Amino acid sequence: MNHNLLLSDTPKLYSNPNSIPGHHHISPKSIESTNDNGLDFSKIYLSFYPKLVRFATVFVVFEEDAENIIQDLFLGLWESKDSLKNIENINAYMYKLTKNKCLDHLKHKMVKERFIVNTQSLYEQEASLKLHSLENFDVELASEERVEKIVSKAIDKLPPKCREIFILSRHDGLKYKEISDKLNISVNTVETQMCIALKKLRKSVRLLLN
Amino acid sequence: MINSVVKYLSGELTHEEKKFFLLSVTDDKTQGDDLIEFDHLLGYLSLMPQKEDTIKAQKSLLNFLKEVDTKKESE
Repeated sequence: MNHNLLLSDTPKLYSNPNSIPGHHHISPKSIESTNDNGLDFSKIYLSFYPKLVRFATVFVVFEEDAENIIQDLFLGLWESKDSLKNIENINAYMYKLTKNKCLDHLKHKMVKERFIVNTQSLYEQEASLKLHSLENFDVELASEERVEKIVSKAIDKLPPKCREIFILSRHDGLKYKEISDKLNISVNTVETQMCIALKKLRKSVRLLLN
Repeated sequence: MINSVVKYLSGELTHEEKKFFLLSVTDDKTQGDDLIEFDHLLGYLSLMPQKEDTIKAQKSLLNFLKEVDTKKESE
């Protein structure tokens, strides 16, 4: 068993998976069978899992659904991991896979919802909008390295207070009320600052991408 | 109107507000386009690395491998 091989790109604190709380009894079989391709699989998992879950959550609404979709995606990859080495652009491949899985999920849930409710429910309306939005999302563009730099630069350019509120909301997942309590400001201020942040980001990203 | 889009995407609308918002988005193309554009912006933002990513991914990978082992054993 070579845990360091599996987690070779991770911080020293966690170079041994048994040092992660709650993970003392990991069965070693899959790790033992990690060959060169398996190592690639682990690297791909570590590098993509969190951001793909976040990405899927934007479009399928519920984080739990997003986690299941991405787990399922990785299970499929694991089963065909021998062919991973043939993928030329892993970024584009992973985003495309995620987009397709999310589209399937939304379509499936809309049909299921229609069957249960027999009329257009709030969820179905929302899913329909998300489906349309995701169909128009350019995963090829998202997989380009420059997009990460562009977005990061746009966030850095936000006024300090605005950036702080934006990060507390989008990054830490706090509700407006929680942010207002934490920063001792009104909910209205949080709302206004969030609007300013997203409008500024939209403008910067629009300019930089075109 | 953009305020409603931002509130919707931040999960800040009440059930009734959300109902009204989704109806108005369906009827109003400009608002619908705004929503899609902001949705895409959040899509790009979601791809930015975050500080807990490494730990989350490691925990998830170990659980994943554990499940793969269990599945193999049961086969």
